[in-house]
Parts: sequence; structure tokens; C-alpha cells
Amino acid sequence: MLFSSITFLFAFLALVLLLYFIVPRKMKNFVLLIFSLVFYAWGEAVYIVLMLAAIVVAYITGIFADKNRSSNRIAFVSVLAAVVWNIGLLLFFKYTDFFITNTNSLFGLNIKLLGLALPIGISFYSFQALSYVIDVYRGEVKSQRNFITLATYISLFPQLIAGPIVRYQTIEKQLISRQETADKFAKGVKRFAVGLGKKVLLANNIGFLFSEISGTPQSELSLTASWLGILAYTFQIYFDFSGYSDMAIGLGKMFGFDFLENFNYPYISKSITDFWRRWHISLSSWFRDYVYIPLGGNRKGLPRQCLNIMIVWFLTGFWHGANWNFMIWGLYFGVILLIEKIFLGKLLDKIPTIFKHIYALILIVVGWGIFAYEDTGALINNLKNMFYINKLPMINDKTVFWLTQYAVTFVILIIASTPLGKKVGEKLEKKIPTVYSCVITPVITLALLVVSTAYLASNSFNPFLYFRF
Amino acid sequence: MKNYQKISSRIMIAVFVLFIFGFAIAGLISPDREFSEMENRNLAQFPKFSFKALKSGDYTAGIESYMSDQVFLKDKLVALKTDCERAVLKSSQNGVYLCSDGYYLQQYIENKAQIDKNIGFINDFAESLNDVECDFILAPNAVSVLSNKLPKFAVNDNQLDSIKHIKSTLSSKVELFSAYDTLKAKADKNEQVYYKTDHHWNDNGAKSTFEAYLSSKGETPAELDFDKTIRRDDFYGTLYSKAPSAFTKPDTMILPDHKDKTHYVEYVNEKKTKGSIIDKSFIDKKDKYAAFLGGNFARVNIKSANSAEDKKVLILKDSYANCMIPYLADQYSDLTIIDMRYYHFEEQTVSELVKNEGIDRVIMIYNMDFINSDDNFLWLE
Repeated sequence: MLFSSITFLFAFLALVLLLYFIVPRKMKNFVLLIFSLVFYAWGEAVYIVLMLAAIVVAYITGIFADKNRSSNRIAFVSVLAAVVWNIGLLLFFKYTDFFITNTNSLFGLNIKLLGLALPIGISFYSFQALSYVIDVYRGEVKSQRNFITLATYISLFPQLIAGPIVRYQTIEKQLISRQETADKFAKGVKRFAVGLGKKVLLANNIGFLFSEISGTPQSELSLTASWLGILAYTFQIYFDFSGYSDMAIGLGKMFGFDFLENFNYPYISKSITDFWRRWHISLSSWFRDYVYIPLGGNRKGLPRQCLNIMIVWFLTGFWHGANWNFMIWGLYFGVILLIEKIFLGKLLDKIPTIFKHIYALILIVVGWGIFAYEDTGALINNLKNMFYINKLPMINDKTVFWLTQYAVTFVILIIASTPLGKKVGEKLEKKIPTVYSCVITPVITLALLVVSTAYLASNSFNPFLYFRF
Repeated sequence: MKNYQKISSRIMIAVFVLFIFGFAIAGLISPDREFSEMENRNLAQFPKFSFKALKSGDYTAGIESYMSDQVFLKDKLVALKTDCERAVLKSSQNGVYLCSDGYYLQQYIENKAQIDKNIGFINDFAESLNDVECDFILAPNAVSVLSNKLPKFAVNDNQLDSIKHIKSTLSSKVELFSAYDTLKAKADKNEQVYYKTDHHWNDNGAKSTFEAYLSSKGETPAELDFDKTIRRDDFYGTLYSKAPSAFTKPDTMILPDHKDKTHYVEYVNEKKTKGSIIDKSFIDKKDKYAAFLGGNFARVNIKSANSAEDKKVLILKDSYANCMIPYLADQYSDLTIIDMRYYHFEEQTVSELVKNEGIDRVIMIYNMDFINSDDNFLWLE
């Protein structure tokens, strides 16, 4: 089920809120668990088995990975089992067909593809389950003996299918005792409305332009159009994904949870290093803590650090999907990060801020140019279009029409990518606190909710980008 | 915490609870609709439960379609969406341009392969007719006649080029009458020849075109035998449904209304007969254009007592022809009207019908968009 659907808003969410707040404290996690399982089973009922298995495996290996309770050896075997199970399933469901396709084309074989549907959210919840067992093994948290509590953590529907990847240690206490307050709920409402608006009003809208441009025959494209298309994608993926994270964080707050932030205005970055501190923060910190640092991080000399960075970014890219373009995309950023680390970072410090922004933005947008095309042929062709190798005309009638149709939308998107709105809000709150918080905020929130519903009701374009990851 | 913050929290919660439960409860209470006039389709109903449907995902998918089809105030919400899109200056929605003077104009992108195919079928058909006259009234669409109303930079192909192309590929056995000049001249004189919110031409467009066609044939238009005309000022057409908006003014629809029993209208496959071309039961519905002839049917025969010419005419047509039928029926005594979209696997092919029923003239009446997109012409064979 998608958050951005009529069914979620007026059936699922209405029911879960109603039940959650009428049952006694002891039952609250259980309500969340049941609804989370329904939420998960909604699209692909059979895969509920995988979710239940992930919970059971995490529960058992977690207990045995607790070093204080048993020998080191058993703990190690347990954590290894958790790694093998989670990574194994992820590889099997997400990557098998990719390996078969490439083996086939490499050796001229004809092995049949599995053609399995990707279990929703497997990339996210397997990472969450894994982080729990590893943290227990490292002694950072105690193992969770209450099965319902652990099951609630792994299956929790707000962040289940598109993150953020919530680490067990950040919500351990909240899982057991948390306080739902009016203030927190109100904050959650506001956050959810913003996220829904980002997804439905901004991402879907501009995504329409991207799919229109990427579906236009080569002979009708122009240089401007190719950049316009990739800019559209740049905004689409940000508002789609961060909108989803906002909704997750907002829903979490309604139920009394505080999840960590996942985005921090990534498009105002001043370097690529900066960008990756602001984009999908929960994923980069997961790879940092569970791959980069265990590999030695920066403690084993520069050459080793460079290798570690490349490994992490290769994996980050590959995590996004079973395709070459995602690997290229990861390595592309790995190389840029290395260059920034070795010398460019110091150089960047000396130039005016505006150039830093331009530098970072161009590299980010070109990165999306790689990310957006799963078909390698289309990917290369699009890059050739963007860099005038295909010698497309500068501009044509169609491009001018797109520009006029989406001019206002682009202005809104640009403003929404910066902290401007937040700053204006903070200023108003200082100057006219009562009006701002009792009139302006509720009115904007309601408007976002109603207009988003209008767009959803129009059955308009509602694809969801982060489903496949 | 400050006092205003407490109040603010309560307001926010009230807003959210009202929104979520308001829609949820209203959805439960309001009766489910079977059919949406606005969308002109049946709406999804609550799915029947079965383990098989649950396992395949059809059950949950069914609930999702049910929920979004039956959402409370759906038509109003869709209009709100269009108006938000207009607020950010988007003049194109679902392939429709929102144009000056309240016109909705449908985008035209030429599909030459389809045109050539269709003209090929028409040519083959014309060859099979031997000496029977075969005329082709081709109606351009509003997007071409009213192109001056389009938003700047709108992307369209030129229908005049398509018409020229058709002229050059059409068999010499078919006489082409393009309605463009007639309609354009009327439009330039500020006469309305197309509906503003529908993809059809209006009564005036159809009537003017038919008169121009007759004078090109050297025939005199019949004295019109109308009792009165029916006028409705609350028509919202098909294009409006693609981009409904609270700010769109309704169209005027004029229907010529003959005295009852002037015509004898026979719906062949339906085995029904009527005494009038206009089906008044549609006039109070949204789909008012269906009042002409009662919609589209495989074959309709019309016999008229007081027609100007004693001729057996076969009309091959799309829905554009429907509002020309009252004038055709006054002109020719015996009409056989065939819509190829429904005339499949019939007892006799169209060519056979021409021979067997002693047709004097074939008139094809199609609009440009139809020739550009329809693929039922193969049924002519």
C-alpha cells in the first residue's frame, strides 16, 4: 500500500489511529504490529512469509548474539547467520535475474530468469533487522526478549517500504515506553501533510514531465529538453523520496516515535561530500557503520581508505537496484568523493560559495542522468544528448511549450528545495506566534491535505519511484 | 509550553481528525455510485471476497479501485485539481488545451500510418462500388479551425496538411468535400461552429457544412420542417470531463426538433423503431450529445415523408455525423446509416448492402481525428 493513496488515508490510517488510541498501553505495539503486517501483505500477500521469517531470524539470532549470555563463538555464528539470511534473501530476490542475464550474455547461455516480484521494502527491513543483530553482537544494545516488541520494530509500517532505515538503538527505549502527546501528534500531522504534498503535488507533477521527455523520440528532442528532462528527474526523485521520509517521520510522531532525519536540503550542498551528508542520511550512515568502519575506515592509511570508499560507494549504488547504471552511479560518486578528499576539497574552500553550489549541483544532476536510465543504451544516448555529442538543436517548439507549461512549477520546486520556507516559518513564529501557529499552519496543512486528495482522486499519474529499491 | 502552542496543537489535531475521519465516514455513509456521468464509465464496486482473489492480489487491488472511484466529492475534487493546475499556468491537461474564450481544444498529433491505412480501405471500398456516387465529407477538428485560440507554443500537427495528404491519396472514385473553408469562414465571423467543451462540432457547424456540400453538388437545401428548436444552456461536453473546472461556463446546445412522426427511424440490430431523430431522454443527462440519434448504432434506417429529394443514401459515419442527421433526413427520403465501429460480422458487407439495397449515393462523414485514430475501417471489406 502507498501512503499516497485514498485507501491508505481514509481506510487504513483512519482505522489504525482509531484502534491505537483506544486500546490500553500494553496493546499498542500489538495493534501497530497487526496493521503493519496487513500493510505489508496488501500488495503481495505471499511475501508476508518473508517478513515473518525476517522477524523470527532476527529474534533468535539477536538473543544468541548477545555476548553476555553465551560464548563468543555462538554469538559470532549467530550474527553470521543473520548476515547470511538477510543478505542472502536480498541477493536472491533482488539480484538473481541480473546475474543470470549477465551470465547468459557473457557465456552465450540461456538460463531461464526467475521473474520474481521484488518483495516490497526488502532492501529496507533487511537492513534494519541486520543492524539490530549486529548492534547486539557489538554490545551496543541488549537483545530484545519480547517478540512483539521486536516484531513491531522490524515491520513498523511508517518506514517499512521506503525508509528511513531506522536503527534499533535509536528507538529501543521508544519501543518499550513512549509518550504520545498532543504536541507530538500535531507536529506529526504537519510533517505528514508536507510529505504528502511533496510526493503528490510536486514529485508526481514534475515526474510527468520527465516521463514525457524521456518518451519523446530522439528526432523531436533538443539540447534544452534533455537538460530539462534530467532536471525534472532531479526534482522528482528528491521530492518523491524525501516526501516519503517526511510522511514516515510524521506518522511515527503520531504514534509517539522520533525517527532520525533522512534528508537535509541536499540540493543546497556545496560539495559532493556535503551532498552525501544531506541525502538519504540513514543509508549512508548504515554503510558507514556496518561496512566502511569495519573495513578499517580511515585508520589504515590513505590507499586503504580509498579502497574502502570505493567499496562502500559501489555497494551503495548496487543497493539501489540490480542494474549496471546504479553501480556506475555509485562508483561515479565514489570517485568524486575521493577526488574531493585528496585535493579538490581544499581547493573548493577557496572559491566563492556560489561556485561551490554550481559545482555540486552540476555533478548531482549529471549523477541523476546516470541513475534515471536503467537501459545502458538509453543512458549513454541521454548523456550524449546532454553534452551535445548528438548535436541536437539548441531548442525547439516542443521544448518551448514544456518550458512555458512548467515554468511556475519549476520556481516552486526550486524554492521548496531550499530552507527558505522553513526560515520564513520560523520568523513568522517569532513575530506573530499565535496567528502563525493557530491560523496559518493549520490552514496550510489542511490545504495540503485536501489538494493532495484532489490529485489522488483524479487518478492522475501516481507512480512510486522508491518501490524497487 | 506556551498556551498558544497548546491551542495550536489542538487545532492541528482537530483539522487532521476531521479530514481523515470526515472523508472516511462520508465515504461509508454516502451511497456508492454505479455510474459516473462525468467520467462516462461504470465505477468500481466493493470487491467480493475470495481466498483466490486475496492470494492473487485482485482483492486488495479491487478495494483500492473502489476507494478511489467512490471517494467522497470525487467530481469536485477532480475540478479542484484542474484549477490548481491552471493556477500554476498549465494550459494543457490530459491532451486537452484550455484555450481563450472558454474553449477546450483537443491536441492533434498526426498518425500518418493510420491515415494511410484508413484511406486505403476507403479506396478499396470505393472501387467496389462501380458507378454509385461516393462522397466524403471530412470535418476538421476545432483545434485546426480555431487554432488562433490555442495557447502560445501549443504543440499540434497541422490538420490542413493531413487533409491535403488525404486528397492526394484518395481514389478518384471518391469526391472529397473538406469542411474547413466553410467552418473557418463562419468562425471568422464569430459564429460558434464547435462546442466549447465537447469534441464535436455543433448544430451550426454541421448545418453550414451540409448546406455548403449541397451547393457544391448543385442541390437545393430542403425547406426545413422543424416544429421548433430545443435549446439547453447547461451542456458540459466530453473534453470538459477531461479537465473539469469550477470556472468553466457551460455550453449552449441547440437541437432541431421535428414534429413527431415526420421521420420513421429504425434501429436495425436493436429491432426498435421511433418517430423522432432526437432522443429527448438524453437532454436532461450530462451526455446531451447522445440526444442526436440516441447515440451510435451499427445500423439505423430513416425514412422521411417530406424530404426534398427522393434518394436512397448510405451514410458511413462517426459521431460527428449525428447532429447532421436531421438535415440529411430532410434532404433525402431514405437513409441507411452505418457506424463501422459497431458494424462487424453483419449479414452483408457494406459493398453488398450498396448493391442489394439499390443505394443511389454513399456519403462518408468523418472528422479528422477519427480518420487519424480509428481502426475499424477494415470492416468495410
